Amino acid sequence: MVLIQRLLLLPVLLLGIAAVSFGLSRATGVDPVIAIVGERAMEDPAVVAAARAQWGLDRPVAVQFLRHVANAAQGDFGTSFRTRRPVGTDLAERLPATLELVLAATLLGTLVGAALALLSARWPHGLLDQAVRGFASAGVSIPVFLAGLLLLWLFATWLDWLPGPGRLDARLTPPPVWTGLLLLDAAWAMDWAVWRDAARRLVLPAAALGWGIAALVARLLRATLIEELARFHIVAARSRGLSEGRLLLDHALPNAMVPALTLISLSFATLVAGAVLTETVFAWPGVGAYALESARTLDYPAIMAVTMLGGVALAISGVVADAGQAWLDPRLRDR
Amino acid sequence: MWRRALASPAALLALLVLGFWVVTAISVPWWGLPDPTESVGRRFQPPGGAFPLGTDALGRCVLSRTLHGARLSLPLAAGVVLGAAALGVVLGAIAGFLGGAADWLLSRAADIALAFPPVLLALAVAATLGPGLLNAGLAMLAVWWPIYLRLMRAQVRGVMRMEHVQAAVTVGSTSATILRRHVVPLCWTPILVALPLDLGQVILLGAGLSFVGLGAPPPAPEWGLMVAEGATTLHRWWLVAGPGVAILSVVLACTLLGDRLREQGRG
Repeated sequence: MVLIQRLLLLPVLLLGIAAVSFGLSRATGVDPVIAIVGERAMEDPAVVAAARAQWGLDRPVAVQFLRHVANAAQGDFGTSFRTRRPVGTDLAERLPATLELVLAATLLGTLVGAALALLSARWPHGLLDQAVRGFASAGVSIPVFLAGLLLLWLFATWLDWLPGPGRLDARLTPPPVWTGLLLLDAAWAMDWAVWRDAARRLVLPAAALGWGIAALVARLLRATLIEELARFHIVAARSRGLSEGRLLLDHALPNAMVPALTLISLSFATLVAGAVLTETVFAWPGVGAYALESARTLDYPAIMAVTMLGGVALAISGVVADAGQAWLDPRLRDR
Repeated sequence: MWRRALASPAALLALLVLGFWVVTAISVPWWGLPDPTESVGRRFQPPGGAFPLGTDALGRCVLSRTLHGARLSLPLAAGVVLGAAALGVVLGAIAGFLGGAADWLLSRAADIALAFPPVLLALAVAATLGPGLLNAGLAMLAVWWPIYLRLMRAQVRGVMRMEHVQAAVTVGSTSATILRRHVVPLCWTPILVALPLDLGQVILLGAGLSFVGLGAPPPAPEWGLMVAEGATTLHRWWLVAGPGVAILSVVLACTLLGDRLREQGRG
């Protein structure tokens, strides 16, 4: 029921998201025409009028908004003032880089976080548990950009184990684009030199971004595991003589995973936030770096598109989290 | 709640760290440190001698800059969190108390604001208003108020079902009296528990915005900005170490304190 309610509200949410991103881009005191034609051409009224007409800026605001929504619904986000290319094309080119980074970070963070939580819950209040809790507190307190710089300094500058910023060595030829995810594309093309370099360059940014996820997962999963271990079905299983390890993995973990999985799908917002900063630190050619560059150059169509897509993705991930929870936990289905 | 939360050594340490930064923020101009925005020595001196944390690319004292940074980050974050809490609490109380259309509208507004990944919305707002510390603060305010609206709304709705409120309704108390005397006083706990955790997270977000150049403009001794300035020359680690440790210590202290409070609040 909750799910249906949320699905029904989704259009309201999406329209609101579009209105906010559109409103923000119009609330600015700066005339967007400056960004298109440049400061000097502003003195020539003919040029300004032509630019206005070309970009549809001479229409009433309501018309502009409706056109904007209609276009966005068809995947047309307008043309970037900065790159002079359709924003959709720009984004499509950069989305796989962010996707690869976010997926790697989520995977890494979930695995590390779950492992830490299991160790912690196996021997609660022990030395290991204290260490894990310390890590979890530090993990949510360290800025992503600082974690990134720390890793970069330690493993690239000082130890020289891993390459520095960038997604691929400039001397290597990227594989033909198939999915856009370098690791998949390189494996598909069986170009192992590229695969190796791409994988080595992915480690540090994924670790920087995954750090926070690991801390969040460890915190929540530890708490739910310990709660779960006190339940009667665990006591019963223990009295049947099951080992503590089996209890934890087979009986406590499946139940404790439900809130953790919800958290992971909801931490998408944190990841997007982190991606902007991580991509800046690691010169990663993704959507985050694109958003930042657009914000700096007042490239409204681009900012609008990225904020809107971020909002839409977040709204959808919320619905997916609800659906996933209902799927994993039958008790939630008819509520 | 506070007294029991402070019984743990970790929370006490956290409070001491926060206390240190607050005292620093207030009194650092009278400590006799070099001007944080003026060149006072050779460039890129490693830590030691007259400059315990070295000097930066313009020969400015990193220690002085780091300590002066507290005067920017702390008031900004406190202002954002308190502003967001004030706005959220008032609107949340209205939504929870009135219900109906007002509740629907306010809740949807909060949904929409919460629907944006915080950094992206802050980025868009900062880009709209132009970079600057105050605008970064406004951007973060836009991101944070709905959290408090939801907290307060849920709390008010819970309290409204309690018997003493039902009784007050029955004897004919006015809405204002019920809200002020019978509902709001019981709603503070979750709000107060959320404050320190959010303070830490707002400091993180603010430092992030400054790091990417949408916060305080140079030559301000803002922590995120200082890290960004040092990031291009990582082998001169002291440029990043000072502000980095500053951010980490403040946020970690907020997190520890918030966690302890939350545990106590749960009972």
